[in-house]
Amino acid sequence: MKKSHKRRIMNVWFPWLVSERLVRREPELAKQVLAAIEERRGRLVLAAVNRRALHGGLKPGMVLADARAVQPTLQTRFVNAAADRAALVRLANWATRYTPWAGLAEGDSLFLDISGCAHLFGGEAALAADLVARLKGFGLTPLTAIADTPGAAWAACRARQQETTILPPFDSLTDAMTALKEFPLPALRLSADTLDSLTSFGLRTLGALYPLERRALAERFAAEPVRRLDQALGVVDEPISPITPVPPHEVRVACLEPLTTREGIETGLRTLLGELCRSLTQSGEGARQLTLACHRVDGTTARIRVGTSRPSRWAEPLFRLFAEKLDEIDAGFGIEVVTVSATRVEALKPAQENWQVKGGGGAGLAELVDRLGNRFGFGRIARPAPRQSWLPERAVEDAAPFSSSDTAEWPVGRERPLRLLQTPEPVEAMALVPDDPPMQFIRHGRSYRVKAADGPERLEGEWWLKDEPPRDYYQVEDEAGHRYWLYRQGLYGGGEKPRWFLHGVFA
Amino acid sequence: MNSSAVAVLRDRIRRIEGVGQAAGHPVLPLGMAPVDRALPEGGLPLAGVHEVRGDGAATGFCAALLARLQDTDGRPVLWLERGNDLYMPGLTRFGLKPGTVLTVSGISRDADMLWAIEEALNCGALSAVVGEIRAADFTASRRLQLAAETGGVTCLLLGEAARGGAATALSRWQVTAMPSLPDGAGVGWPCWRVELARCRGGRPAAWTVVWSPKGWTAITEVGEIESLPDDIRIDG
Repeated sequence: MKKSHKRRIMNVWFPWLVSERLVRREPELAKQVLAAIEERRGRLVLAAVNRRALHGGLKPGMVLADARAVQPTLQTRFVNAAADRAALVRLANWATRYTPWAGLAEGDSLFLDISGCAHLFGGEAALAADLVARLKGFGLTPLTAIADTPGAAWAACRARQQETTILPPFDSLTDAMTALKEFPLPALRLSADTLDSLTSFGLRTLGALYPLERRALAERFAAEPVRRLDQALGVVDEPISPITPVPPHEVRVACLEPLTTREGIETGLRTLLGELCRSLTQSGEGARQLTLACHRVDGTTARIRVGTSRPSRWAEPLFRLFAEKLDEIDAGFGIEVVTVSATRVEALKPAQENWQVKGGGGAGLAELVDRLGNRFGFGRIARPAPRQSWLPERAVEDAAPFSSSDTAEWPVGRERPLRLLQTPEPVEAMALVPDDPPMQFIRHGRSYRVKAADGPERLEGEWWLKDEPPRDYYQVEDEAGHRYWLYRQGLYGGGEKPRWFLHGVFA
Repeated sequence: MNSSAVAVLRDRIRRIEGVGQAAGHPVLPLGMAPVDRALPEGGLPLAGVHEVRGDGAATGFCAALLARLQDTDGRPVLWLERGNDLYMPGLTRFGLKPGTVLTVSGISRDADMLWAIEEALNCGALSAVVGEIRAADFTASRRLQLAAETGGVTCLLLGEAARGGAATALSRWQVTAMPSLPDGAGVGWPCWRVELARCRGGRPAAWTVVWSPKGWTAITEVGEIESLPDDIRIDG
């Protein structure tokens, strides 16, 4: 049976999803005979029905006119496939409270890979009971089954149609074949066409397929039945596509009593961070981004995310990053499951743990940068580094706080302002002669008389950036001694009048 | 009175003033004799909060202070900006060594700025923090002073206008631009009026400070000229 021993998959099926979603939107429909209808080949037919309708003799596929004849009180709504799918996606997201491996499955159902998760909820039966009770609380009627493979779980769910079916782990292929032998053929997750043609050959159960020669089966019905059978029996692996990317490291805790206080969340968070950091240490990694998810009693989830400026696996500093934001979490009626995942990791060798920033600092500084980064955004923290460019606004680049690019030299000998405006500010300026510094300039309606000036210094963009005329910069000083950096763009005597800008101030 | 008795008295006065600083508290001599004479212990007390008021000139004054601090303390410097216009190529003129300067830009709300300054002071891995802040009330300023003492970090609160203000800072400086000192044609060497408006354990005074390529030089207001480089023509 290969490695599939360790895998345990749960299929959660919502046989009444369509009608139950309609009832959730319009509660008055709950007591009605209800069908979702759609147009097929120019006729309106029933696509899905509720239980009252089924008991009243209605079935999906019936023509609406016939159904009305049987049940004159039938209420109908048009099928909204997108909304039904969205509801299923939300349910899959909700199910990540049990396992990160929660994905959509065929026929209004979900797959949950609960390998290694069930014990957190008191075992497979307890987990299933918990899940079913909660879903019922949302007004849904789930049927579930747990088995070694997605295919077997899906089949058991359809074949038994019980709230919970648990197929014990298969010991061998024979064991698996025995377990699935009696299941009806529709339990094999086949397309409608394939199912129809197999049924027309008189095949009724999965067991009926066992003696058939596989090649003949494949030739007549394409690969589908063989593949589905192999998947169910665990002969071939079937991965589950999780609804959200599964983080490389995730830890979770289920709370017996729902958490309602910040202190409670903090305690859980501390425990989980310790666990997560041990797991990161084992894999030689450090987290760059972490997500805390608090799954509330009412099925909603609150998430907060923190980032770090370098890979980290120290629980206490990480805890402090979260602590800044914990107030954002509204416990509502209580939090039942808390997960912490490292959503981005990088390799972190033990040697890197004692890193030093140039000129001292150390871990204290890294922690500070992380806290500032989480509050203001890491993009706002910089270690300015020189860049080769003539344009002043391009002559500085923001190196990452802990990068080690200290090789470049700052240019010397050129007068540069202390403050450089992000966007040069247009000013009116008057110069006596072209190429002369301005005698006066007007900014915000105020006039400044220039007492002394240096310039021009002509600066232009690199040749590959030459999309604007060169600038002539002047350092000018007004009567009070304030010094400004002005530039003129364009030349006198040309087609366009040159324009003046204020680009910075000196000390 | 002999000098040791004076020192003891000074120490007691400082304790009474409640700054928690005794004699021997580290200070940063500014390298301008008239200014250093007005400061307690002959320099700017480190591990405390200082207010610097003014516009571009005040930024230059802070850069020059940090540069002197960098010579003795290798720990990084953090500059918390309200906007995003600090320009390193201009700051280097005042001796600031950018290799160990970290900046955080766009902290426009005072509440955020206070939080950031306090966090930075508490971290203890920095030599100095510059916070561009409009106003800090008494409580906030007191918190910063305590954090600065605890973390052993010097804090410069850089603001534009002298509006109210915290009385808990160790000193308050007002720096304004003055017409430059010509060194030939065109714009000359930067010239500031530096006023020590308040200083715990020091005495208020004002100077004209000239920044030449050799560093800064203070000229007392009454016209006393100290160690002015030969090549400055003050009559120019």
